[in-house]
Amino acid sequence: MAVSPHEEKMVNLQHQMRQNQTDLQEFIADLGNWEDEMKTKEQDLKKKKTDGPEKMPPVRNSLVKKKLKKKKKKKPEQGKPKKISGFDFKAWDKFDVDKALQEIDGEEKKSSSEYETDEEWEMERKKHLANEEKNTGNSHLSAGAYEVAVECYSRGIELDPTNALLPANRALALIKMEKYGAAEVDCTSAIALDPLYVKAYLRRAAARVGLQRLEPALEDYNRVLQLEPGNVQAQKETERLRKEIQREKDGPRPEASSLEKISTSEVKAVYKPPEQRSKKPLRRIEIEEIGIKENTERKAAIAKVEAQQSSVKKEIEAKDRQIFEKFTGKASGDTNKSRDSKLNGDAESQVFASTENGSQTYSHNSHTCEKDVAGSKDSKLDNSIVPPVKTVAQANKKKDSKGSQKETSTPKPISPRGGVVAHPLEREPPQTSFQFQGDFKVLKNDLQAFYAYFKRIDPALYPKLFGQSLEAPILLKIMDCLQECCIPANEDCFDRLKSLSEVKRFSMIVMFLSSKEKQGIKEIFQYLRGKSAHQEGEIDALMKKYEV
Amino acid sequence: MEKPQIILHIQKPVTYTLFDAKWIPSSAKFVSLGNYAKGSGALQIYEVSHGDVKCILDVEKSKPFKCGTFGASSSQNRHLATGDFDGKLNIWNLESLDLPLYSVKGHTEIINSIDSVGGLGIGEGAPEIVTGSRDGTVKVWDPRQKNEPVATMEPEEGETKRDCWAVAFGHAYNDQDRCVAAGYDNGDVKLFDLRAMSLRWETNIKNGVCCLEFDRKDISMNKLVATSLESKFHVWDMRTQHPTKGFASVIEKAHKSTVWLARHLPQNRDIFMTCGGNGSLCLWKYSYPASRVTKDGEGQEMGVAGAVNLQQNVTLSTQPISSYDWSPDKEGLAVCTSFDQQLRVVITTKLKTI
Repeated sequence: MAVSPHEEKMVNLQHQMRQNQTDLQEFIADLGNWEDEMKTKEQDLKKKKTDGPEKMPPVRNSLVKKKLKKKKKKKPEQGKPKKISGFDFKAWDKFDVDKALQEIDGEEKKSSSEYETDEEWEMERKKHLANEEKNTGNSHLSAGAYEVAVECYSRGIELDPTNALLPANRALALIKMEKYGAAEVDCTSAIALDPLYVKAYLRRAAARVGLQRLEPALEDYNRVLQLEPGNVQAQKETERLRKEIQREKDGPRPEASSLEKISTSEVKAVYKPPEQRSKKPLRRIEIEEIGIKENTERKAAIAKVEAQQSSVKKEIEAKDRQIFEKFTGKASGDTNKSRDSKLNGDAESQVFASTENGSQTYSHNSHTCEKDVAGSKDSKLDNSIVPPVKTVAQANKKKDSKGSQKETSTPKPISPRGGVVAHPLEREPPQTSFQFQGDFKVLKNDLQAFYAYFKRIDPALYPKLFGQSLEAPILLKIMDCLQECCIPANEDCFDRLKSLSEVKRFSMIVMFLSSKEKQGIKEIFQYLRGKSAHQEGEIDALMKKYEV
Repeated sequence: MEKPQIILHIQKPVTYTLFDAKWIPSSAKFVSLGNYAKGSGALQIYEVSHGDVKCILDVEKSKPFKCGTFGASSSQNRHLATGDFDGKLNIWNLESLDLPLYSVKGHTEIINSIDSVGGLGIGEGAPEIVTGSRDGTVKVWDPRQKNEPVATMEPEEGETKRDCWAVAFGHAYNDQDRCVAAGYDNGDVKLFDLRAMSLRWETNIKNGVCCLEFDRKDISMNKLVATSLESKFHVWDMRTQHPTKGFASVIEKAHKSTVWLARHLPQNRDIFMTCGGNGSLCLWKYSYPASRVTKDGEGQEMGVAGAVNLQQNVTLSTQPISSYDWSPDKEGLAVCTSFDQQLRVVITTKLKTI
């Protein structure tokens, strides 16, 4: 059977269509299988997701862009300088050959500083990025976002472990966060990277102070001074730390050391140890203001009370005076007692003088003194005016218990007066020179009380207590009190004298004592000699120190 | 008789302008990207299932998406990098699309084109994304480096900035060599060598370059296809570069309209699909010449172009085909988008027998 070409074509076409159809159906059936296959594959992938990160090639260098820009810029620059015509002799006269040569040299250097290999590029890129991290970290730091800053620096350190600025800055942020241990480690690594990096030493020292490791801190400051002899901060801190260390060696650290506060506080420069502070305590304006206000209130109160009780008071005063006169008259025969009475008389006369001058000024002064030292001490000190009448009463307490009882009851509306002067034994022996000075200001007018107070201080603590703050008035007062109280009580004060002589600045103070003042000291030594509890040689040596 | 067939398998209308669709690697799902009429961005995930596509995820973002790619992500993570109308490059974890994993305002204007390499086991070396923008710059990004591109190709100061329409990675056959091809609206085609950081070659094909693609990204440059306005496309043999004449090329007319796209079959690098402005698809096969290298009068080596043969063509739409993506996992399966707001899953049969 013959098949026409047309028919054959038709058959082929039909065949092809059928073929295509089956192909497509196969494909679609296959597609269904494939869809399921893909689902399981995807699930497997999700399960596998815990795989660690693959090792990836480094990030391509970003400095390339800058390099291209540099090149672009160079072109117009090179075009800029006009060619000088060979016949333009004036222009040639002005032409600076050396400068031109330098320029050419400079260009060569620039081109040689471009990086040869991918590794160098990569390094340079990372450094660049690390620097950016540092800058963002710095802005966070100055904004006070220390934790964010620390993160930035950490990323920077990862990028560029050779940059000493990054760990040093992170240390600063850590110090601000009071993480001194970590800060110290960071500073150490910064120093390892750059042994001449002054800031790193300063920060490590601060961190070490924070960690209470004073001696290594001092070493750091010393190192700073080696590198930068003019560094003010280091100078100050060195001095301060030396003292602190000295103090620590001498005795237990005062618990609330000012040092700690300072190292954590942001404003370091303002700090001064107590003994270096201004000797004009009344300059503390705020306190004075408050004090004045309180004082005016108190004055008003006192005036009121005085007005109310003036008659009672006058009576008591008169009584006291009588008793005093009686007492002094009686005591005149006994030497020891005469000394006592002299002392009491002194105290009283002072007090009386002040009452005459106007008790307000006196009480005001003593109040401000107390206020000034109040901060670090027991609250007892914080209580204000010492009414002159009372002092008198206290001085005569033993003699006239009746009067004193009355006395203590009368001035109640006036602010209560703690037994500071009256009960010296209650006062704790001072732990710091600051404390001592405060106590001294309160007690200096009452020799007995001061002696009782002074007696309780361990002589071994003197150098620590007085430090640099020993001054002539204090020394004289001590001598006075030794002379007046120690000798009558027949107590041995040799150790105290010896210990005092070991205080810093002692010899300086002694040098400026007048012969009259030295006379008192001589008396003490004579008394010691008379006691003969110590070897002559020892006493002689000590006398030499006191220059008597 | 043995001609491959291009069959429209599934068609799905959407409510936004479609710009791109990409298969999610190792899955039967694809992502579609586009632009809602109100000016926001559409990102949807569809799953092919028994003759239908189901939308399994639909999110709207503030800026319209122009293009996307998975090529810089690991085959496990499959993070999508997108370029949007605002010039932003974002990388998304498709499992939590609230916030991008990586976001950078890479360009001052729309990102027209995006390509990536180094992930999915395709291409040696670092994962990198290249973006080409209307602002005239081409930038290479590494997802590990925030904020700054690892390389920027921009016109020198004073030169006019051309709208960059197409970018493509290639030559990533070891961890150092890598090339970026960029095509511009004025017909310029530039080949940047990322290792040497230099312009390796440039030419002009007279018409705006709509699409560039290397037949493979992860081999030593073999072929580069550029499609252009005025219904022409070029295929260069990239193996042999003559110092003056550059690369040998073959030029072919197609579609009687703009050739929007060329996409090589992942399973066979010599077969590629072109998509036209008239809504048609053309399947081409490239045939190599007997010898790919010859010598010119001065003894310099120069390439010899092969020939391209049309295998099949079909018209799917009356509107331009804006994107076409072969499934990397299933030979012959593809998804394409067109401006008629239709998603289409296309099957091409008998690809093995060509």
